[in-house]
Amino acid sequence: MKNRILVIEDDKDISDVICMNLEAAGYAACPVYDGRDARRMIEGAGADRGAEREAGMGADRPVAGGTAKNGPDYDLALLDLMLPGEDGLSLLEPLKAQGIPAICLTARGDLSSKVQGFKLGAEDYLVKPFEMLELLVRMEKVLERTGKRREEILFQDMKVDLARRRVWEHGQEVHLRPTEFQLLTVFLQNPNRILKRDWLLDQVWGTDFPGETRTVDVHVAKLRKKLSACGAIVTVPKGGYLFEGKL
Amino acid sequence: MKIRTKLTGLLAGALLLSLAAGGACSVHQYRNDSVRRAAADEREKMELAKWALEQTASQEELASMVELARIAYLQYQFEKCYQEGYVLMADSREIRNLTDYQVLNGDVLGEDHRVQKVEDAYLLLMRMDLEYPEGFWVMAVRDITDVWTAARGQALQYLAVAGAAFAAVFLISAGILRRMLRVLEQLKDQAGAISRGDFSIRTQADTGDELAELSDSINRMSEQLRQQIEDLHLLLGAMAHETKTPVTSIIGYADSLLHVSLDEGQKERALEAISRSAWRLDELSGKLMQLIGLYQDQALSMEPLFLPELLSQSCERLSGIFPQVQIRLETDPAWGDQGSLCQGDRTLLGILFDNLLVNAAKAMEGTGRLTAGCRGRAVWVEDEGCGIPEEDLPHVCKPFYMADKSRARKLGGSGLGLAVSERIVKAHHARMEIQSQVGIGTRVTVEFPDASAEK
Repeated sequence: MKNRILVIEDDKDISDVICMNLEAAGYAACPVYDGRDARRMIEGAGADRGAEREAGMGADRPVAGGTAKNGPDYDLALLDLMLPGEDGLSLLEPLKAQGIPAICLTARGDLSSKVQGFKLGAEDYLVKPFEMLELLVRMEKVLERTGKRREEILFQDMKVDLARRRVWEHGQEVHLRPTEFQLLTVFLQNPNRILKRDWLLDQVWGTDFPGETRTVDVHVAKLRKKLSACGAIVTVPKGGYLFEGKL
Repeated sequence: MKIRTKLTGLLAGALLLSLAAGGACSVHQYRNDSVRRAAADEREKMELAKWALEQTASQEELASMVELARIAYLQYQFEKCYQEGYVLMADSREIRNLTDYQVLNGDVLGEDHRVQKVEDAYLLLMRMDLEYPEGFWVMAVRDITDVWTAARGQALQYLAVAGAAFAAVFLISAGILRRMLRVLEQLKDQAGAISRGDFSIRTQADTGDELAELSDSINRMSEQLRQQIEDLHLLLGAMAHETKTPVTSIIGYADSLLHVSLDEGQKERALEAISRSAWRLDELSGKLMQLIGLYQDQALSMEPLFLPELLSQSCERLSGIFPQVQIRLETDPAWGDQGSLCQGDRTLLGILFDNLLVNAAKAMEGTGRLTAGCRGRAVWVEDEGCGIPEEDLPHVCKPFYMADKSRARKLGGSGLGLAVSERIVKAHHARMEIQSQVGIGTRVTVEFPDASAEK
């Protein structure tokens, strides 16, 4: 099940580019261009979920951290603060009430706007212009923190359990070292995107790691050897690596 | 040195000097008068005594006496006729001295009286020659110390009065000065605050004089500065915000093209969006340049322009951009060439008319009918578009104000068009009026001043 992201952004071009990137990264993006429409969608989501919860109780269905949800419910909202119809900051309230974490995207980079945003319950804050990769990483962190990240990823014949850090392929468990698993996670969370070697090094080994980018090559080679699904990791000349495939 | 010290010192000095001069003068005058009076008095007495002495013996009788007898006789008679305070002299010799003093140098005494200070006493000395015998004269020595004492008393009295007056004047003027200078001090603080960017301080001067006027105008200046800086901040903030949107879009799409595996359709859409955003930035910067240029009041090249001609050129340009807009051009031929002639900058007026027409076309979302007209020196553009809500009307000329932001964006508006137009209108000393009704349309009228009236 894909994470559903509500993209509240009035500029069509920016909304499109965000949705394009989200979908490439394996999210389901729902764009909305107007403050009033956004409120309707947020509150509608709440009503649906309320109904769902009632049904869930009756049917004794596990409601686990929001990983398995149907209907127009959202796991995360990307919120532009200057919207026609209704101010973005005022949408933080209903978002919080529905338990949808929000990342503010805005041109307002001043401290007071940020403080106000955080006080009203924003999970994170990104000032325009921002890099898509940064947005994706921050989204991943917010989803993980709020327990809305999908914990199980299926790709081809491979199944990855992010919470328990285990991997299966062709029904058999494959043992990975912690760094290998971490590298695989980064690839799975940022698919269809060229990832540079030093960026990968930062993400997996941390910025303090004194190693060289060769380390990345070695670990990618190991992943490819251990998992046939990792054949999807393509080496891009001069660029880095690209995990290509529909997740 | 502070103004207060300077002014107080100057005032005190001038006051002291004039009081001292006046006082010295009048005391001196008083003393001289007293001395002169005493002298006149004395002279009268001496005349009497002289007459009495002359009665005692005639010139012949005295001449008949021998030298010693004559002197003894004269001494005797002198004692009888004159009282204390006189000296009988023969040439420079003392004959009989009825004073407590000794004459040292009687020759220097002339006809006039003379005052001499002996120890602590002031003596009035006078000489009167006797008719006979030859060479004999009388010197009067009169103690007039009391004149000096009186003069000193008067001087002291004068000093007391002058001192009181001086103190009063000094205190009053120092009070007034302090009040005035307090206003100045406050103004100084206010100016300091303004230079630090703090416009909250106001000087309250209730003196009702030039200082109050000055403080009023400084308060006004401060308020206007605050307003201007606020406007500029708003403009800059809005500008930063407006540039961020297209920049975010460009960065986002370029990044996606570089790093994300996209299909052909997506790639094309990304390139289109980049191009669109770049054009938007270009338009924004162009409009901003116009606005900044107008803020700096760049030299306008004024020339007589025929308004209908400029308007029809703008209409032609518009139909190139919005082919679906039907434009009706209304010009009044009855006015002839002279009536629609106006002093203006050809480029700026072109921009103004373009802006008005493009706004009208955008209000109708690119399709519909609009009317552009010129009658006399009034030019108007009327559309049948969405109109402007009443609460937005006062703000539409502010930079980056968009009544309907999402719609304005969709049609490529920068939010600067009317702000630029308003600056152009102002630069031409013209007047712009916007009438609008939601759902019916908008009519913008610009009225230019009489070109011939300016000459």
